[in-house]
Amino acid sequence: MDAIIVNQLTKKYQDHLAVDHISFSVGEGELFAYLGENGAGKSTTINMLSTVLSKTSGEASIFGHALGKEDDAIREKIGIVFQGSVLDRKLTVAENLLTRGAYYGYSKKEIMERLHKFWEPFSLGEIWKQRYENLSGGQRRRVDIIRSLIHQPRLLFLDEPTTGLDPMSRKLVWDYVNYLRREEGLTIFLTTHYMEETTDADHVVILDQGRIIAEGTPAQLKATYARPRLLWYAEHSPEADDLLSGEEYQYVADHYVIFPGSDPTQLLWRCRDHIKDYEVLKGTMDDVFMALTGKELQHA
Amino acid sequence: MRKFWGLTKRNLLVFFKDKTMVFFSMLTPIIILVLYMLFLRGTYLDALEHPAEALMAAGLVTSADLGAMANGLLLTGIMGSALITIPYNCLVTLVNDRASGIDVDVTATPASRLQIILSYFTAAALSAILMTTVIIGLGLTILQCINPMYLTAKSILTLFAVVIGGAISATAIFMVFLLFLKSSSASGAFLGILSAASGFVIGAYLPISNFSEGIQNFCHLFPATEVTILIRRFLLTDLMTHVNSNIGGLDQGLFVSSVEEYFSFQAKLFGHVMTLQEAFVYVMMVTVGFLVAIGVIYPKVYKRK
Repeated sequence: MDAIIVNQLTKKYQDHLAVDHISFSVGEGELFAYLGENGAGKSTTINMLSTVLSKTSGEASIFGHALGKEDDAIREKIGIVFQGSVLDRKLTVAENLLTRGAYYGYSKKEIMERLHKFWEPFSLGEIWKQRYENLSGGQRRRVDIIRSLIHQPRLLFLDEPTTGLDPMSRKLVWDYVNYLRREEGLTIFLTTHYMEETTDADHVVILDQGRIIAEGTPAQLKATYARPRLLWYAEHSPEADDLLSGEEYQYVADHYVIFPGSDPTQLLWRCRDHIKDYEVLKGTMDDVFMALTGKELQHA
Repeated sequence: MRKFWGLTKRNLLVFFKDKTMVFFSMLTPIIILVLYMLFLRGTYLDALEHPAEALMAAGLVTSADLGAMANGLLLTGIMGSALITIPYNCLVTLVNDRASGIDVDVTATPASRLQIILSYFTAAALSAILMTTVIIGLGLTILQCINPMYLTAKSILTLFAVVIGGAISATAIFMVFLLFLKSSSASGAFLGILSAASGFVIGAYLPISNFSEGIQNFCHLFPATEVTILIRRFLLTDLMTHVNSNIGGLDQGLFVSSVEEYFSFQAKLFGHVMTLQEAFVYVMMVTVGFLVAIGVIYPKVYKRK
């Protein structure tokens, strides 16, 4: 069964189409990456699918439950890690999680049983009695994720979960997400500003001004929209420029960036007596995004 | 039911864990206490001593009685303002949740909208009841230690009932206004206006009888004013009876009635003097009206956009 099926989903604010007739599906257990720059419609889509926002038109279903008709059933099955934290700063981690668990009708005993499995892998014990406002950014995100999982959802929306985190905290968050995918078989719907985080995605959808402009696996997208680059570390010289005539290239800092028209090995062979230090870079998801939108994602 | 109590518990925790919020909810009562110590006590005593000069000279009214009256008037002012600012601050969680986006986290759960809005109301009403009953309890104990208030058990119980009713009433009324506020700064600004104006409207700074008839009628429209009058009445009525019995009818009850007139012991509506029961019914009717308004407004204001 598909976890999510979206068909011509649209959200309109007066004259502005925030989400414009999008259609896609997410298989159960998939890591689904939903990309776009700020204002592209990512959060609007998440808010609609999570029943927080109403749709203007179109249809969607979550695990077979129709959006707008069976919202309570959908709410039981989804967890959301919002862009900004939605936990109470003055309360402790314990108070936050126990009260949130009660929102789903669970007793304290039931909530503790559910939290038990996060105790070790998420190091919950060490922050259990701390006030949320006293936690580091990474620790807060950890608690946000646990809060979103307290009712054992089958689908987790992660709305830019690592924005603003330092590299170590980002890695930890991804360790937790990967653990949940592996151990719980959770379906993940991810929006992110960090293109490298989409590398392991099963399916990627790229959104621009509310419309889907590309989709596929990361490999498919890179093969279609990104070109490999040859970096040749050498001083800028007329001789080197002559060797590269006919190629698309530019000199940056201490190296040439060459976009070989065909196979880079042919270029390397032709220049073998001159090239001492080089590297070949495959196209990245950043390249895909830039090629499609003409814009770079703003890294927070 | 667990969902409702979970939501209510969270709202209670959010309020009581925020020391600043708790302090600011008590700010106006504290200001009234400070003003009392600075000059209000003198003003009250002047107003009480003037009609009692002859009776005091005859030893029928003592300075302890007048001191107890002044202190009772102070506690009435403190309670009247506490019953405004405390419920209001307890409800600010509603606005803060909306401003910070926490309400989205709640609406994305299976908890129903009725449970959500009822939890805000219940938490605020419970917080207000808890804090105001503690204040009245402490106040009564302190007053009794300073000067005897001659309060009967019935008066004390009625006093607590009025305070509880006042807390529920104010919570319902303020909730309707706060449903429309979207930012913490807006709720803060509204609190500023409320704190400044409420002291006058309920007669905490100055007896309402000093105002023109039109303004008096306007002040009496507010349930908070009527609740304050009920508190004043139940807090001081046994003391007044004691003073009257000491005077022994020599002044035909003139002193006590003049004090009651000046310090507004009568609940009124457009000049019509209400009985205590009528005043209570009026407050409850307004409260029920606002509760109905909450039910109508909440789904519209907090609808999914």
